[in-house]
Amino acid sequence: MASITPTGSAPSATGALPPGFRHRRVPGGKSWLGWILVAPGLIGLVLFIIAPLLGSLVLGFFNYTLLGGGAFTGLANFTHLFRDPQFLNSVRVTAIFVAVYTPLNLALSLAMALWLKSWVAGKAALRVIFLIPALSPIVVNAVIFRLLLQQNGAINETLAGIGVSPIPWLSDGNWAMVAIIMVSLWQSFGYNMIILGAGLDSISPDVIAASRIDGAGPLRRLRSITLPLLSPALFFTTVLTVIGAWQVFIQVYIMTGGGPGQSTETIMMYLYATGFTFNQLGYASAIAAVLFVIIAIVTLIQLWGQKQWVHYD
Amino acid sequence: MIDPQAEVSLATRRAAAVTQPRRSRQRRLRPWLRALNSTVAWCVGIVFAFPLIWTFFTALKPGNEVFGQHFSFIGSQILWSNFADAWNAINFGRLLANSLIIALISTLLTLLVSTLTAFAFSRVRFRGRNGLFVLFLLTLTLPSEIAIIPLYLGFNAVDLTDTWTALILPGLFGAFGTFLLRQFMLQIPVEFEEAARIDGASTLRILVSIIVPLVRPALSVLAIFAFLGSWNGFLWPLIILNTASKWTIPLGLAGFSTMTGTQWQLLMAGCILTVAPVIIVVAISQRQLVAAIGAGAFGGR
Amino acid sequence: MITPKAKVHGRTGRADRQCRISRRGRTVVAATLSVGLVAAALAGCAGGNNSSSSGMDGKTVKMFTWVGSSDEHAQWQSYIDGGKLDDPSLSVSFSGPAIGSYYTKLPTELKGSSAPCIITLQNGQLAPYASALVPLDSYAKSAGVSISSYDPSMIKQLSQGGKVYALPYDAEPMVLYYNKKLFAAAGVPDPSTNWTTSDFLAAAKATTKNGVYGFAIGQAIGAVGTWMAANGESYISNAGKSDLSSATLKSRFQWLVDLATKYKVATPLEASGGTFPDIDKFGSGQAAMFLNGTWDFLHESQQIGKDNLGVATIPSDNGKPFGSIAGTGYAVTKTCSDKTAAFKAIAAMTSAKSQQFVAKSRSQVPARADSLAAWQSSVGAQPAAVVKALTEHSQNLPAATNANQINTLFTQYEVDAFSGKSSVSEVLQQVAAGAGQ
Repeated sequence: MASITPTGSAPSATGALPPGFRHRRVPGGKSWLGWILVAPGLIGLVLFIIAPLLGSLVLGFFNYTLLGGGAFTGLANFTHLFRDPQFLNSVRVTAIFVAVYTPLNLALSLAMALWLKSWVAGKAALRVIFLIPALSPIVVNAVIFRLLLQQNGAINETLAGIGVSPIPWLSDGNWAMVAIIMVSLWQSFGYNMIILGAGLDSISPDVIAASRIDGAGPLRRLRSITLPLLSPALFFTTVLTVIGAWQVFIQVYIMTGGGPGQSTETIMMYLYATGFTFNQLGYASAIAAVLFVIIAIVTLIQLWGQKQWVHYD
Repeated sequence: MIDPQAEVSLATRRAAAVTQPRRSRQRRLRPWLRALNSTVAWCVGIVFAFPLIWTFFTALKPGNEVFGQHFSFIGSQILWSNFADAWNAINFGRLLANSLIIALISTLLTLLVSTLTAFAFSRVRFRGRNGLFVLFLLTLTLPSEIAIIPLYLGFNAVDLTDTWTALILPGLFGAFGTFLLRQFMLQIPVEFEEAARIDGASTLRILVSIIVPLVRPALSVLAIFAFLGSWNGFLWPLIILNTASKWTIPLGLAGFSTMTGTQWQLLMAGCILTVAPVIIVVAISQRQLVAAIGAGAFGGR
Repeated sequence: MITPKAKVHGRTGRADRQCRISRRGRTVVAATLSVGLVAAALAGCAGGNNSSSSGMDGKTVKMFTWVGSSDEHAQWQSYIDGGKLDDPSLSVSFSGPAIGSYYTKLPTELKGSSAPCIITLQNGQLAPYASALVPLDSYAKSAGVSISSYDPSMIKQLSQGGKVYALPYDAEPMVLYYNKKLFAAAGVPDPSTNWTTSDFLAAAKATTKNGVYGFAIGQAIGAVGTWMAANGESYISNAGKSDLSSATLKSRFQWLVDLATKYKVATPLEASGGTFPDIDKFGSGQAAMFLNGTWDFLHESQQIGKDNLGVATIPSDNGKPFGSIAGTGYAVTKTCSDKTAAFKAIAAMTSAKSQQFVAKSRSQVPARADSLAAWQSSVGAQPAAVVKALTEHSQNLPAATNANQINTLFTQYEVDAFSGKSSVSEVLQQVAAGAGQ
């Protein structure tokens, strides 16, 4: 879907106004004008975003196929879901992916963002290199890695060149997960790197200078000054990376199809297979509804937790 | 923004707690350290770029040497013709045209809708504005991939499957654009508007002649995100489009495997054809892009 | 998205006002959500409305089929060109997705407003869609087309309840392709039409050297099914139910796994996203043999050279050749507004003249006995002899009603059998569980 909330980007929500701005009533009580202006956006929002999400929930209470109609089944889909070993497995697989991919992504992006703040020749060209996978379609990246990770593909050949025996990237469950994580990191790390870089740039150099004068070493500086000041950016990046990670699909679809076995079958992959290969749209909608709840809970936990570690001004 | 004085005192207080001996530090790295730093960074960069480099060389190989026994960048022949063959085999010209048209329409419509909505939220008082805005805010975190089945059924019910209308419409209404533009619009001093009103300008005129030009940076940020979102989209096009002649580039590449196997060298050539414009655009507008992505994250902060 | 700690900026009280929602605002939110809920319910419940559609574009009959690449495009075009030889007024247009998503898209396509008049169906795929198609027997009678001129096993597979739903345009047996150069280099003689499984194993062992493997294993349960069919075995009942606990299925699957793990004449299968590794391996000269239908003849001869391409029967334990026929047919949809014209079109495209034309140009085995000679002249004597042996002793393979699902599951889980993580029985159990059997 051409949704324009790319992973890792988020606008600030404080609505903070520049100093000196005095709030004034905008003249004219043009209520109807406001509603007319907002109408297209609002109608679209309801029709294409809110309604489908609610619709997922509603459909979960039905059995529905594309060839025939549907029958109301009440909570049957949901109760079956929680006893479905394949679904529970997909939740486990996705959770592992999120738990491994998110910190790696943030750590790498942060490390690279910090590195590129130091003196490096041709910084701009490096940024271009890192950005390219982020701005290409994920399909392209997945197809490329699909070829590279074949048993006798380029990566194994390179490893053989340095004396490492070939790795069963796509025939061993654990390595397949590593492969998916690898592609996902390659894809999105450049984008987060830019965002964190912008966050770093917004830290006043006077602060850094002052801490240097006071004798703080680089690690101390990182821990006590940079990271706290960067925490809003880190927070936004984390929240959106996590939301995106729970929905991982394309890489799995192109590279492994959920295999070997069920080792890379994420929730979205299972949803797609259930809905469009097995033609059980009601059950697939139930999966969608549960995934939504999972993401909502995880996001709320993060929002609650931001009080602990995020420093707003 | 950060209050420098407050933070400096904070920094000082923190630093004072550290019982490290004062070291006189060299502010700048010595030249050889600089060179080492750059070299290592570039090594990382090259390892990172390896997949793309390999793809490029694979695209030039003959078909039966893609899975060669010996690891080599260059095959027995260098077939620049593979690019032409890939162009024809997957009808890349049509895919490119489709993707471009769809992305342009999406971008324009997104800009239009977001501008109107943001203007209403920032500049026009109307009843229920706050509540509505909270609704918009709430939808910012909603995962979009989950809604595909009801969306699909909805379009099916009105017989719009396999149309570009169904492809484009759902993506136009993300609250992100509205939010971003509203942030920027709020920062325009009311005086401008009041002055224009005194001169007799209508609200619409104010929007078009004053507000829009002043939020141009935000508009370009939004345009970039909208364009990329449409250009790279895969799941929704996969589900809603049936006919190969209506496909976008990602679909064309994914659907390249036929009943008679996959011609990997052509597929890799297709990938290069897809990525090449991205490389060129990024290389040219690197600075603007970086600024846009950063601005998108901080929304006018 | 984020409500920041309600810091009151000293200068303005704006943050306060922003965070509080007026009562009116709450009403707005509630109203919007309920509208959304109603819309969702409507969208979810509505559906399955068969709008009347035509499937015709003036005089042109519209066909929905798999068109993923220019190669497939050329194939359909050649059938149309061939059909024009039989009926110069023939006018057919075609469009569609890649083969990988064709069957997934077919249901919605059949129910949409742009539903076509003609669809293509591979044998064994008829069952889920028969309710949307018209039986062709009466049309054949009034058009004077004789159903018996088509390959009987194909007709049987494209029929349901005694009624014919599609006219086949090819009847391709599964064969074993081998690389003549690799055989010669290993000193292996060309296989006879009576060669046995042990002959096959010996040939595979001899040709496995220098990074080249003797055999390339195919994915999905069809790969196992083909070996079974060559021995006259089947795991699918006549009613279309797959018996995944069948002992013969288990032993053949185990044998296939042993080829990779025990005899090491093939590489083990990896997880994939819909590609065909066996076709790739054989075409790039990395494997000396593999199984596929004769529809692949043209493509393989382009890949490794026509003189290099050998065709053999699939070996059986006792050496008797036994063929399993696969192919595709054209069917007419119920929503077609001019079914007579549609039938005329498919009759033309599967006529003798058309089949001979296509057999010569694309080397596809036609579905009509009267057109076989044309095919034989284009591929040469040896393949023709093989195909003759196979079609003389062929069995009518019933097709599973949930073939698509079983194949998806099997492809996903079989990798574990090759890596040794699961046993063959465990894999079959998982497939059965996933398919709800």
